Amino acid sequence: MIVPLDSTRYAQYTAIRASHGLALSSAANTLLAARSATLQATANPVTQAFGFHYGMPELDTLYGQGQVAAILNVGNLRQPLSKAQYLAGAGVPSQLFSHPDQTIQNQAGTPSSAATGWGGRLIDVLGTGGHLDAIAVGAGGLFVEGASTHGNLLPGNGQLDLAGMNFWPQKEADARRAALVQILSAQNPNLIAGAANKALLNGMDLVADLKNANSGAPLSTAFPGSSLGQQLKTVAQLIRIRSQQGPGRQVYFVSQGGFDTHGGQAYQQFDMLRQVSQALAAFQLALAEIHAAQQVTSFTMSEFGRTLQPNSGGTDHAWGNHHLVVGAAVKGGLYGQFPDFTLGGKDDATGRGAWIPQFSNQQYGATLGRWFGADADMLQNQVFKNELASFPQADLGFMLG
Amino acid sequence: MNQHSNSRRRFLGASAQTGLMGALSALGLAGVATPSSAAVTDYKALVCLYMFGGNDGKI
Repeated sequence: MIVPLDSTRYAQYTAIRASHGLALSSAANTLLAARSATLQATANPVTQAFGFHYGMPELDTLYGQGQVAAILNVGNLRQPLSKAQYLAGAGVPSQLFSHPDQTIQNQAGTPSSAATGWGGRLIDVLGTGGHLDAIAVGAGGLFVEGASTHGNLLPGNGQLDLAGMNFWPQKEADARRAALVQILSAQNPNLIAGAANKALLNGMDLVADLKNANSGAPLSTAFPGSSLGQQLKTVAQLIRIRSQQGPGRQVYFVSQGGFDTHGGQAYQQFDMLRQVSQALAAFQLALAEIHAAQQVTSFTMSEFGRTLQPNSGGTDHAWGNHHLVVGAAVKGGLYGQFPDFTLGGKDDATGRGAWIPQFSNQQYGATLGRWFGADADMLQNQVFKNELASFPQADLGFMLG
Repeated sequence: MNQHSNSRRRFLGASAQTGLMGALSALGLAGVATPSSAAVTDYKALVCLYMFGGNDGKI
């Protein structure tokens, strides 16, 4: 997404990646025009030159408007970790480089397996318990599950009706639905059955809201036809409903697949980042349209970054990664430092450019959580489950207000 | 008989520690003493965009 353009790192990047056509350059029009920023959240606030991937012109424009923060080399950590500590093996998160484990740990926001995500736990402490509090669109995610928060999942295919509930005459269908609601609402002595009934009721309420949203004034913002574009269109519709109901908090989970680029990366990455950039840009326009721009912040998450050193045409599982935070409440800029690009250097865990993160997922999440309204005690003890205090900064400073 | 009860008890104990607790938690049933929601006076939303597979942020 972002390539440093200081002479040392850019030369290393080009040398390491050029052999497989994976080095972006302005000469080949695969890198957008250079930008520069004063590095934030670091003891070394130098001016840094960098450029965005050519698939992301919309996000580059939003960056220019101060609405994008890039958090450099952030990832899954238990404590600040030097290479010597990594090699000694103490304090290292479990099952690094594994898709299923790192997917769970990144969404949990803790460096070990967990049954809840940090978005769901934010709603545990700040939500009101409604069916609009925590919603995944497209694919499910642990991120929206809390201890008392049960996330709703909207499938991406648009099929939301319960079978056997729409028939003629309408009053008979209404009676059947009322009976079902009555059954589902009844006190159930079996905890699991009661929770399942509540989940179904929540889903039915959510579908009713969504239908009302679709039959009301449609959003005038045009969204891309991509899966992610349509997911974010649904999110914008739900935000319009919820934001008009008064104070409250919502967490959403949207997603895109296909980033496991062991091969064919040069063209696949362009295609995927283009979809991300176009969808997020449309989402920002829609937020302005519904007057919610200041109240909604989007951010990227992934299970890990990829090796700086390619294989033949792709890259492999690594660790620390750059992430983007987008919105009108974001204090745009670059946060932290680019790592040392030397293969086998001080920031490289494996010798192939798998960076040891400089910031933890907990710091990244806590900065967003503080903006969301959680206080220091909630963040430390409940949202990040005592896994935040090991780090010097609980707030990386990329949110305004 | 004793052995049977013992293994059932051990099974239930193990379930409670691992899978079953996970399932209960996922259903929002874990007996966590969640404090009453802090009062919020405005509206806010966080949107997580998850990139499945491990995005190459370096490129």
